[in-house]
Amino acid sequence: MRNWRLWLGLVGLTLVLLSGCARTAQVAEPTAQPTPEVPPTAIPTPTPKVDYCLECHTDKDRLIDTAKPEEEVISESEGAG
Amino acid sequence: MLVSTDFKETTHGRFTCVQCHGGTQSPDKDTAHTGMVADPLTEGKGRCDLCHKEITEQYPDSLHASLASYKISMYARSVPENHPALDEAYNNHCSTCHSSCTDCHITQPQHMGGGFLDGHKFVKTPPMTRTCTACHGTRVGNEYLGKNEGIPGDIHFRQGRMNCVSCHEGATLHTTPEDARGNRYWGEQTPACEDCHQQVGASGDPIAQHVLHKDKLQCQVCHSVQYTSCDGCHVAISQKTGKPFFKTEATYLTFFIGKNATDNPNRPYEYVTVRHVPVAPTSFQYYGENLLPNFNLRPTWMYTTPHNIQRKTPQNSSCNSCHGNSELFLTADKVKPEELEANRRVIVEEIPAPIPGQ
Repeated sequence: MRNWRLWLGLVGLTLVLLSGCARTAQVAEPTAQPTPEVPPTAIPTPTPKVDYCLECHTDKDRLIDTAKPEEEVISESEGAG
Repeated sequence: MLVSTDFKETTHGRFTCVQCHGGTQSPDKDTAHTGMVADPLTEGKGRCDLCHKEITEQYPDSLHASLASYKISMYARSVPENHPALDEAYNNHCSTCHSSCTDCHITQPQHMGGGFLDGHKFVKTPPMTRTCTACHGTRVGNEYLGKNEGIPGDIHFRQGRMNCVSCHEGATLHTTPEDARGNRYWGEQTPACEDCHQQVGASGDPIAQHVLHKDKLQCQVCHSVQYTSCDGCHVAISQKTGKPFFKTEATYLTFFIGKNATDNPNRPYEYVTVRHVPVAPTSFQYYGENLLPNFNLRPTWMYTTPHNIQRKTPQNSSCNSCHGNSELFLTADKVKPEELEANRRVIVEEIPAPIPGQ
């Protein structure tokens, strides 16, 4: 019986010591690691599934239909520029 | 603007429209165009720098981008207190000549009708007549292409079929050497005729006149013909439209040899061709009275490099076609009385004497 109590005490002491080690590890300051720079890429993002811009700007008839009426620009400049 | 369907297959087509132009991907036109920039490079949103870093870093200092010589010329004839008014004139009338990457490699100028050069595809070598001479047309373009009536085009074009970039290489258009950033004639000659014609004036040159006149005459003195001069450009804002406009009083063909006032050891010539530039004391009068009080500090007949080179010209047909021929030289009687003081350094007071026996 006494032997059993001795072993129980030793196990308990070991756990207390181990838990102390665990606390020390938690408060340790993390070391900052440099983040490698990502070089700019010529193709930053993929083309969206539906490219509405191109869909319209490659359609001549649609561009004509939706274009704002052109204002006539009258230049008052005279002579060689 | 109609984009060609194969634009997406090109290298530059790998960007999405929004990445360069802003705006939003949307089937609704107004939504899509909100925040969109037609020429991204005018607002610094272009992405040229991602791949063309060296060019985009140097380009802002180039004369094509900075137009520095405009303000330098204006300020040189003025005083500091007039600079704000001149800046306003410059911003309204001159700064539109600034060219971005887009202006040479994607579009043609508005006064040529605007639009893409090739369906938004990027054109590596700008087409001469749709870009270069579209802006440099009145003088250089007309001279080079032979559009001045009765005057042949430049031999490099007529016989060599050379275009602008044959001499003015891309690197020299994208950058301007430090000493020439205020004026293209201040620095080294780039290009120089001798870059190709290396035998001219060298020992063994069979043409004696080359050896005799080397460094004394600019090449164009013997090898160019009549070119365009302009008078009296005045600028204003239209009362009707609110748009800026200009009026040039006269445009005419001349060929005059003047004294070299450039003070540039890279251009050591005693005699050079001179062209009348369209400035007048009242050019910017719309923006204030007497804005160019130091008008006489700078010539109105300026060093020029006509782009209509010929092998044979009236003045090089014999020694005395030039020597003793007062018609060729900018003498005081050919200068407007009110501009005599401004041109004191370029007026030829004593023309070279005829050579006896020639």
